[in-house]
Amino acid sequence: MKEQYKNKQENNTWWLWFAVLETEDMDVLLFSNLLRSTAKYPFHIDEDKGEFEVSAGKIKHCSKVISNTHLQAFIKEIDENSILKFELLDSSLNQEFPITATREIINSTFGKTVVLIKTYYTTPDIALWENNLDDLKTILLMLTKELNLPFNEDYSRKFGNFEIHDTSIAMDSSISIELLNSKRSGTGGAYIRVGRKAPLKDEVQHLHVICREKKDVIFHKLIVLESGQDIIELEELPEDSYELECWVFNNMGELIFQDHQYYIAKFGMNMGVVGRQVNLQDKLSERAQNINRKLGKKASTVTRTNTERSMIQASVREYEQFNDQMMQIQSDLFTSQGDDRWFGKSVECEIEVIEYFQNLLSGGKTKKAILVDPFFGAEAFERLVTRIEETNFELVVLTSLSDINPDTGEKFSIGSDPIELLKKSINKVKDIVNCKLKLINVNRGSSKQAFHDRYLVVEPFEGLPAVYMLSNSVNKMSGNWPFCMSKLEHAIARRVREYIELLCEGKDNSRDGDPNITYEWPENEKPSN
Amino acid sequence: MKSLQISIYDYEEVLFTLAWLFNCNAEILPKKVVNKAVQLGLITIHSEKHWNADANKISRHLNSFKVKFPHHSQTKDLTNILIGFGEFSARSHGDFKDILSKKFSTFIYKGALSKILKEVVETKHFLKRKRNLEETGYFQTIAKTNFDWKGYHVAMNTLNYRGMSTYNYGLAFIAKICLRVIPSQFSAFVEKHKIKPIVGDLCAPVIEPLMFRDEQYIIPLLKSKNAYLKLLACASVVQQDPFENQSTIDENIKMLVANGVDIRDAIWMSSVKLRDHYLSVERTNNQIKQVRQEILRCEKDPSNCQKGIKPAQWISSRKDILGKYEKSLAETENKLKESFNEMAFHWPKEGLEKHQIENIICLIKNEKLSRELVELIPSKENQEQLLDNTLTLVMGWIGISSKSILESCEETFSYSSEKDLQRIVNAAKTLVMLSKIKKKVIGKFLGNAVGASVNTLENFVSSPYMSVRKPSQWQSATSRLASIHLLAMCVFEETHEDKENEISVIVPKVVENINLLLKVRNTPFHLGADELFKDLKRITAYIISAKSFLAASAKGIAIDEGLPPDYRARVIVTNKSLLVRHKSLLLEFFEEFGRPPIYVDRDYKHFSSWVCLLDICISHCWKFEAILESQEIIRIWEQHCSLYGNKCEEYVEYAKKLFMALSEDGKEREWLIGLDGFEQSNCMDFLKNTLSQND
Repeated sequence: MKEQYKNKQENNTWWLWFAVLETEDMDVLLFSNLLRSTAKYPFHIDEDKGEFEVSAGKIKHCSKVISNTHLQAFIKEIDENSILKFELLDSSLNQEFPITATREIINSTFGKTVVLIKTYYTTPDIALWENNLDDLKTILLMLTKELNLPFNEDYSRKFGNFEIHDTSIAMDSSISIELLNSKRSGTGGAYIRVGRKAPLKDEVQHLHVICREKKDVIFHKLIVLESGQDIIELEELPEDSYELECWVFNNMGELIFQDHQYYIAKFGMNMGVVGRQVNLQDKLSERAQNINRKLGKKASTVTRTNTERSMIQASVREYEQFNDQMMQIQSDLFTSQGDDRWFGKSVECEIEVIEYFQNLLSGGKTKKAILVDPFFGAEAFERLVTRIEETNFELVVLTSLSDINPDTGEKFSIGSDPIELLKKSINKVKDIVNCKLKLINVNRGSSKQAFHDRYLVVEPFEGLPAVYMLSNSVNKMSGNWPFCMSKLEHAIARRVREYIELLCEGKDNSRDGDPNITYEWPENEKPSN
Repeated sequence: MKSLQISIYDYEEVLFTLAWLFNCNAEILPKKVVNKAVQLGLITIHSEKHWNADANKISRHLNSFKVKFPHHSQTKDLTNILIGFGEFSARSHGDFKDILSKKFSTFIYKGALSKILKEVVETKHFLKRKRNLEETGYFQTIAKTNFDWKGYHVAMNTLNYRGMSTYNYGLAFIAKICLRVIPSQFSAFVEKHKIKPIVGDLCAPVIEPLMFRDEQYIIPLLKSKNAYLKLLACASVVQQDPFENQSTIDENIKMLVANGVDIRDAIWMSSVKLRDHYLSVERTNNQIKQVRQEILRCEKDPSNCQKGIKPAQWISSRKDILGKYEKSLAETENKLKESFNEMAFHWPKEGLEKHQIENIICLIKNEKLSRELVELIPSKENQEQLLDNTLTLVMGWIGISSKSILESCEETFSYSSEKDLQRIVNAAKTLVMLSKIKKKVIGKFLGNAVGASVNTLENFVSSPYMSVRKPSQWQSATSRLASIHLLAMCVFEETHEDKENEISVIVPKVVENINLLLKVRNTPFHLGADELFKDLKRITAYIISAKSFLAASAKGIAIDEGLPPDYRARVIVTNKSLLVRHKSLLLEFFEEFGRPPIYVDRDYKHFSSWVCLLDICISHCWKFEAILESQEIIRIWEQHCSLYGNKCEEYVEYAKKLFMALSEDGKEREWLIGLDGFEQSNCMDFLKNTLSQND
C-alpha cells in the first residue's frame, strides 16, 4: 500500500461497497471499492443494499462505513498475506479472497476526472458463467447501475476487483475550461476561457489543450497558467471548433484535471401534426386483442401524423459540404475491410463466395463452423465441402430437407428425394472431405421444414464465435441470385447461436414443440419420434 | 364516390328531380332532361361534373301548382327529390330546407321521411362508398363517444377545429331535413346505427350549423339520445358564441336546462366557460406585464424601441396599448367574478355526482381555479372531491402516488419558480382547506401525506456517493424532496396564527430535514434546480424568522458548517440576536456567496441570487440598526461586483443606494420606488411600512 493512503487515513471514515456471489461451494467477489468520505452529514447505508438470485447462487451487495482502524488492519493483511479479508473491515462480512494481481492506474470515476486507483485483482473463474451468460450480463448491469462505472463496457475488465479510489488529486470543482464565442463580432473564431478558484488560482499549472474541427486539429498548445489569476482568456482560435480536449498538470507535473467536450454543431427538429385517430380491425389487431387489451390497443390504434423536418446549424463553410461528401464517398468505396459481403450473380462471383468461405473457415483460425441452411442439397455439399482444405476443423451442416419440394409444395418423385441424393453425394465424396464433417437434418413432424433462415456460425480458436446471416441458400450461392452475407452484432449473435445449437440437438426455443432429427451423418438415420 | 365526381348525366337522383320539376316523363333520356333544364334556366352546365343551379328558378318551379309532390308511399321518389335538392343547395346560393321541411311536416310525410332514413342506410352506393382515413376516424369517434368530459372535449374540438364534409350533399340534405322535421327519430336512428360508417355521413352535416350556434338545430339535439349529437349541441351552446364570450354562464345554463339537459350536466359543461374567463384574466395580466416591461426597457435604453419609429412615439403607442389592456383586464375580471357567482348560484345544494365533478376537473385542468371554485360552491362532498383532486395532482407531479417515489425518480423533475411556486402555494392552501373540511390537525395531515416519501427520499439521497453513482435519479430525488419541503413550508406560511399549535411539533422536524437536504446538496459542483433551492432557502429562512419557536433551529443553522452560506446568512440577518452574535459570520457568508462561479454561463443567475441576498441583508441590517454591518456589506458588494465584469457595472452602487433609500427621503428612495423587479423586495416592503407609519 502506498504511503499516500496511509497518510490520508487520519480522522477520516471510508465508504465500502461490496458485492459477492454466494454459491454452495464458494463465494466469488464481484466487485468492491473503497472511497474516503468527505460528506458533512452521516451516510445512510441501511437501504443501500440488495440481493437477488441467479443460477449459480445468490448475489448480495451492500454499503458500509469503515473506520480508519479497521482499514489499517485490512491493508496490513493485504501487505503481508495478499488476502482481501473483508471481516477486518466489517464484522458482518466474513468473506476473504486471495489477490492474484495488483496495479495502480488513473481513471475518471465517481464524478472526478482524475482518480488514482489502487486495484487488486481476484480474477474470478469465468467458467462459472459459461452456460449462464445472461446471469453474468445481469451482474454487470447491476454493477453499472449501482456504481455508475461502465461494467457494461470497458470496466468489465475490472470485474472481481477490489479497488481503492483516491479522488483527492482531482481538482474538478476548482477549475473550468470552456470554449466560448468570440467577443469580437464577425471574427468567427472562439476562444478558451479558464476559470480557477482557490487553491488552484494561487498556484502555477500547465494546460495542454487540443481543439478540433471536422477531424482537423486547429489548435494544439501547452499553456502555463500563472498564479494569481482567476480568469484567463486565451487567444482566439482560427475558426469555430466543436471539440475540445484538455489536460491540466500541477507544478509537480501531475495530472489534476482532464476533460473532453463536444459541442453541438447542428440539430434536427421534427414537428409532427397529429391528425385523427383510427382503429384498425384487422387480423393482427384481433390476435393482439386476444392476448391482452393493452396489446390489442397497441396493434389497432393508428394516429395520422404529418411530420415536418428542419435542421438548425451554425454557418456552413464551403469546404464542409465537400468534406461530408468525400467522407461518405470514402466509406462507400472502402467498406470491404468489414465483415459484410455482397456477391453479384455470375459464375465468377459463385467462385468468389466459395473462396471467401474457404478463407473464413480455414487457415488455422477456426475451430468449428455450423452452416445452417434448410435447403443445403447434394450439389452444394459437393461444391463447398470438398473444397475446404483444413483438416483440423469441424464442420456441422444443419439442414431441413424433406420429401416435399419447398418450391412446389409437392412430394419429390422417387429418385429425386433430396435426402437420398445427399446421402449418395456424401458416400461418393466422403473420402476426399478434409474436415471433420457432421450433417444433421431436422424436420417438424416427419417432413415439414423446421427452420427458415440461413446462417453461418464460425467458432474461432480464440475470441467469441461470429454469426453471419446469409441471404440465400448455399445451393448455387451466387448462381441464381446475388448473394449477401452480414455479420451479426455479438449480443444478437449469441441469441442466434443458442437457437442454432438447440436445433442441432432437436430442440427449438423460438416456438412450442421441438423438431425431430430425421437424418444424421456419420451416424445412421434416426427414426422419427 | 363523392357527388362532385358524378357526371350529371349519370346522377339518377338529380335527373329524376329535374324531370319531376318540369313534369316530364320518367323514361326521358338523361341528355334531354339536362338540355331542358338548361333551356329553362334551372341549371348551367360548365362540364359534366361541374354545373350550377339557379335557386330562384327552381323555387318558382317547386311552388308551381303543376308540380305534384309524390305520394307519401313513394319513398323512392321522395328520396330522389331530397337528394336532388341537396345537390341544388350545394350548387346554388339558395336554401331549400325551409320549403322541403314544410312539405314533410305533415304527420304522414313525417312517417315517410322516417322510412326514407332507414332506406338510405341500405342504399348501395352510400354503403359501398370508399371512405378516407379522416371519415373513418370520424365515424369511429361517434361510436366511441360517451356523455362525459372526453366526449365533450371531442365535441368542442369538432366545432372549433374539425369541420367535417363528406361531399355527399344529397345525404347531408336528408339529414338536415330529418333533424328539423323528425329530430327524435333522427337521433334514435343515429344511436341505433352508430357503429356503421354511414352515421358519419349523417352527423357531419350537423357540425356546420352548430359551429354558428344555429338554435334550429341545437334545440332538438339537446334532447338527443345519442351522446355525440347531444354533446355537440351542448358545446355549441356553451362555446360557440357569435362574438367571443358574449353569452353568460347563467344564460347558457338556463338554455340547456330549459331544453332538457340535467342541471348537473349543465354545470360541468359550463365549467369550460369559467376556465376561459379565468385564462382570459391570466392572459391579460401577462400582456400588461409584458408591455410594462417593454416600456421600462425602452425608457431605459431607446435602442430597445422598434426600429423606424421615434422612441417617444413608440413609448406613447405602447402606453396606449397598456391602457387598453388595463381596461380589458377590469372587464375580464368582472366577467370572471360574475361567472363564479353564476356557477355558485346554479350549483345544486345536493351537489354533483362524483363522475360529474371528475368531468369538471378534467375540463378545467387548473388547480388554482379548482380551489377558488371550492370557496364558492355549497356542497361539502363536492368541495372535498375538488380539493382532494388538486392535492392528488400536485402529489402526483412530485411523485407521491401509488408507485414508489424512487420509481418516480427514474424520471426527471423540473421546477420553474415563476410557474411551479404558485402551484405549490396553491397546493398548500388546498391542504390547509382540506384539513379543515376533514377536521384533521394540519401538521398530522401533512405528515401522513408526505412522511413516508420524505423518509424514502432522504435515505436515498444521503446514501454514500449517490450523487455520482446514480446522478439523474439522485438529482430527481433531491428536487422532489425539496418540493415536498417547500410545500410543507408553504403550508406553515398559510396556517393561520390561531392554528399554530397544529404545526408547532412538525415545523422544527421539517427544518431539520431541510438542513439535511441542503447539506447533501451542498457540493462544489453545479447541480441545477437552482430556482427550486433558492425558493426553498428563501421561504425556510423566512419561516424560521417568523416563528419564535424555531429560535433553537436558527442558532444551529448559524453555526452549522455543512450548510450553504446564503442560507446561513439569511437566517442570521433576519434574527436580531444572531446578527449581534454572528456579525462576522454574516459578512463572511455574504462575501463567500458573492464570489462569481467559475463557469461563465452561471454568472448571471448567481449574481441575481446575490442581489436577493443583498436585499434581505440591507433591509434587515437597517431594521435592526446594524449600521456597521451595513457599511461592511456595501464595501463587500462594491468590491465583488467588479469581479462579474462590465455587464454588472451598473449594479455597483445598488448596495449603497438601497441603504440610502431606506435611511432618508431623497433621490435614492425615488429610485427604489421606480426600480423594476424590486416591487416585491424586502427593502421595498420595509420602505412601504415606514412610509405608512409616517402617514
